Amino acid sequence: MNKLSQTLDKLYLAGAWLSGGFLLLLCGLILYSILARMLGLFAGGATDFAGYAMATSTFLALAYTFRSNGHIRILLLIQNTHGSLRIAIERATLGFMTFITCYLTYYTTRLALDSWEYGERSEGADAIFLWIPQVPVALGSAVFALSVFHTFAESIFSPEGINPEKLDLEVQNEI
Amino acid sequence: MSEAVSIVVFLGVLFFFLGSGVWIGASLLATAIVGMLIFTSTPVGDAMAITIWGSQSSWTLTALPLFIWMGEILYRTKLSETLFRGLTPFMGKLPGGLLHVNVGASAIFAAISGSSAATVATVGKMSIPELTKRGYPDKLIIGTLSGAGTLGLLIPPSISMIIYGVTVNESIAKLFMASMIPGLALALCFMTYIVVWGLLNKDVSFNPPAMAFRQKINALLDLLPVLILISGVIGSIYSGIATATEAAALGVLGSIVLSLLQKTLDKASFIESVLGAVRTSAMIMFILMGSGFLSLAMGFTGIPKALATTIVHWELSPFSLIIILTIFYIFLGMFLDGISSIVLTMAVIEPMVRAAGIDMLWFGVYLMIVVEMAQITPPVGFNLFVLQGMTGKDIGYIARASMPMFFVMCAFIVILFLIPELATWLPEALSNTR
Repeated sequence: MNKLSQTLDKLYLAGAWLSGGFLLLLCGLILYSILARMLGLFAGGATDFAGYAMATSTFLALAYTFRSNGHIRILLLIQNTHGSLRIAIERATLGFMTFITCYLTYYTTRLALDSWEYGERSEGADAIFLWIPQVPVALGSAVFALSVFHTFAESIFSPEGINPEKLDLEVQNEI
Repeated sequence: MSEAVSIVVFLGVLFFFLGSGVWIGASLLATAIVGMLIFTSTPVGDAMAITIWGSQSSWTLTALPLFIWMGEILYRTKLSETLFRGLTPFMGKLPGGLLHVNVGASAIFAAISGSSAATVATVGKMSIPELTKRGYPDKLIIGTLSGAGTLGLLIPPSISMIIYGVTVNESIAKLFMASMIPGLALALCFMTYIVVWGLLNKDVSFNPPAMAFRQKINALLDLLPVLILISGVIGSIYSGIATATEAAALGVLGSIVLSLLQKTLDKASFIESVLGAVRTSAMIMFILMGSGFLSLAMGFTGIPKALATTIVHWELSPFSLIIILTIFYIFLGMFLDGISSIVLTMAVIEPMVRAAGIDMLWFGVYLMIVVEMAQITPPVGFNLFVLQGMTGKDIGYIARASMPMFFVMCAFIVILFLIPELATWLPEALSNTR
């Protein structure tokens, strides 16, 4: 059980690394388009590709962000409840989050499948098949849903794992 | 169904999810799904997927992860030290002394990073121990820091401003022009407060750090590369050479070069910066997915339009509208972070504000200030949390210490209202010269 959990955490981290790779790619694409404009080279579709790189980067990082407490929420209720009530609220919110992320996965997958089936192409100068950038979006959603379910399962089988310290607001992500 | 019922349904569902601790992005998605199911016959899930795909792959939004990354890289350099040493010789002589460094360093770091919490953390890392050592009162160190840290949201580049621009379809470059003068003016207001405090407490003296002339020059020279980077990034946007996204990419390149020169960038810190950037971006993007779909759902219900008509019908003066909105946002800010407040309300507020004839650039600047106030109002205010972590003081103490800055910001909103040119002049002047 523990081993599975560790393997999954490695999967989320791998997603984050890939996501980082796409962030580098995004930056590189934009730098290239600046250079291309200055030198009069061809950079058609660079803006579209940048958008796709960003979407891929975002979705691949969702699971890692979730597991490292990166997604924010309002903790007033959870911080002011204790014992079994607190665990119950944790389970309920995690269960609901599992549902929403599965819903997201189902429909992003369907979007990619539809684009593939109808052979939809991007409207930009690149005109690539839209399913190509949409597949990582669906994949990222799926891993995100898995990571939420993972935490949900932990809250069911080892509720002592969700200790108050872990939910300390300082570790929360903010802007 | 009448608008009143739909408003109640939306707010009820939304507050239930948010309040019970469901992650903000998921709360917004769920509320939108419920709304779509009740008020439309559109296939909900497919509409959601299309909306999310459209917004998440949009070109305008690409500036966001890049500016976040730029901030993450510079956050890991020895910038806090450079800023402190570089500003000390200039600001130590003013009444109020080194407290001004909190404001000055925050303003400069705000021009690097779009985040207010990162600003507080970076500036505080150096200034809290240094100022405490020199005997400045804790309350003022903390108060000025948490207040001035909010400049991160106002002085460009600002993550929240990009989100506002994308949400209401205004040019991000223009918004960055609009927020510069108000940002500096607000910093001046903070400094005025410190000067007044310094004049009233003349008898209190602090040991100014002794620095030889040579040292001062060196400290200043250390600051130079950062200032060049900032002017490069902001200048390229203002002059129209680069779009906001291009400026962000150049900024990333510049900060990598700068931290390589400083020898503060190694493999580990580079990887940390990338992972930190994707983590923060993913967090914001998840909220944006929810808010984008919620805006679509709201549009179907007709709430925004109805509300706009009502407000116009009331014939409120713009001033009373702004007062009402300010109270509303301060209240919202007690529970929500800035980005969530912005994306949550804009679908409804935008038509209303446009109908009232308020300039959207001006409103963006105004919104950043009220959202800044949200960062320092308890029980939920991120600057308070950051300072709690750094000083170990409890949140009530930090909130009380920040109160004067809160009132300075309230006063600044009045100033901004009376002199709207603070926000509108620069965008006009810059676009006229092109």
